[in-house]
Amino acid sequence: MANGQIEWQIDIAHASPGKFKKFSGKYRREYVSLFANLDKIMGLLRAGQRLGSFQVGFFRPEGQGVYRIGQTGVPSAKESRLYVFPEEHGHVMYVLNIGTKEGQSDDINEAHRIAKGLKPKTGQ
Amino acid sequence: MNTKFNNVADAAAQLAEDPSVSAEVQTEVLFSTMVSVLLNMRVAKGLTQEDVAKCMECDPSKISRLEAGNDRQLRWMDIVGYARALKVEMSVIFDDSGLPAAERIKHCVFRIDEDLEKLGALAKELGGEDQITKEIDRFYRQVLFNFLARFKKNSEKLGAVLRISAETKAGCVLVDAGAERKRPLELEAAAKG
Repeated sequence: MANGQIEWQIDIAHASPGKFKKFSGKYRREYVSLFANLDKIMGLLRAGQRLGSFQVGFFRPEGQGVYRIGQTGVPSAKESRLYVFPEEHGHVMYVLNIGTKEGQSDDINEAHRIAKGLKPKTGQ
Repeated sequence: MNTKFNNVADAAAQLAEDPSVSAEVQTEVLFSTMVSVLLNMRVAKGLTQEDVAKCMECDPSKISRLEAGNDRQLRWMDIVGYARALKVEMSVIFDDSGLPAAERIKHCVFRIDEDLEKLGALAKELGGEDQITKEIDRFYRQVLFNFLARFKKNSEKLGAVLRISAETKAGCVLVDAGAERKRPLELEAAAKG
């Protein structure tokens, strides 16, 4: 803990770089906005807030420990989601998947599949 | 390949395989500073979006949009309404970098003076003679001591730069916003309490 802040890290080892690269090329503003919103959540966690103790519209649970981060602040944007798995014990935010609203069902399934592999390691 | 990051901008750039993304995310984060501050305060106070919306007499979806967006989309009255809903006082400080240094220093001193008056008023509110108020009083003395220690240090720094006369330094001049009166502060005596 430094300056009263809890150190949280971001881990991208389980994300598919190809998918993120493609998404960032096609929807750059949305991509940037999603990560800026992830930064807001990281700010809350670093300040010591616990998952489930706060309610934020763009940060919603999708089951099995997976959360989706949305973006609604970009005018005339493609509705997009960033899927993450926050691991409170080790203070690690795993970035899992990204996609648009249209493909969210498959994206959530994929995020759940990755999260399943993370759980034994994280003990959640 | 590094897969662990301390900031979102570098993680986003690595995933996009495009270093320029980092600067874009950093800019977006910078332009979301006010939104982040408001969100952090709301969560710290244990308030929901509905609580804020009720106080602002708007739909909760507006609060949701506001928090998901950035500072460019914020409207002045939204900030005022949101702060009011959190029961947080808001101050706006205009610091004109075009003013001469002496003028800016004067403005800094006015602000310090105002804060000291606020500190005094808060201490006065507590009053009383019981143990709790005595403890609080002791806390305020510590605050004042720490403030004066920093004031003295910075006064010395200022003195070195601006060649403030020994007489002025000794008195630690505070200029009242209303008049040009000088109020000497007895550093040692106050520190000893």
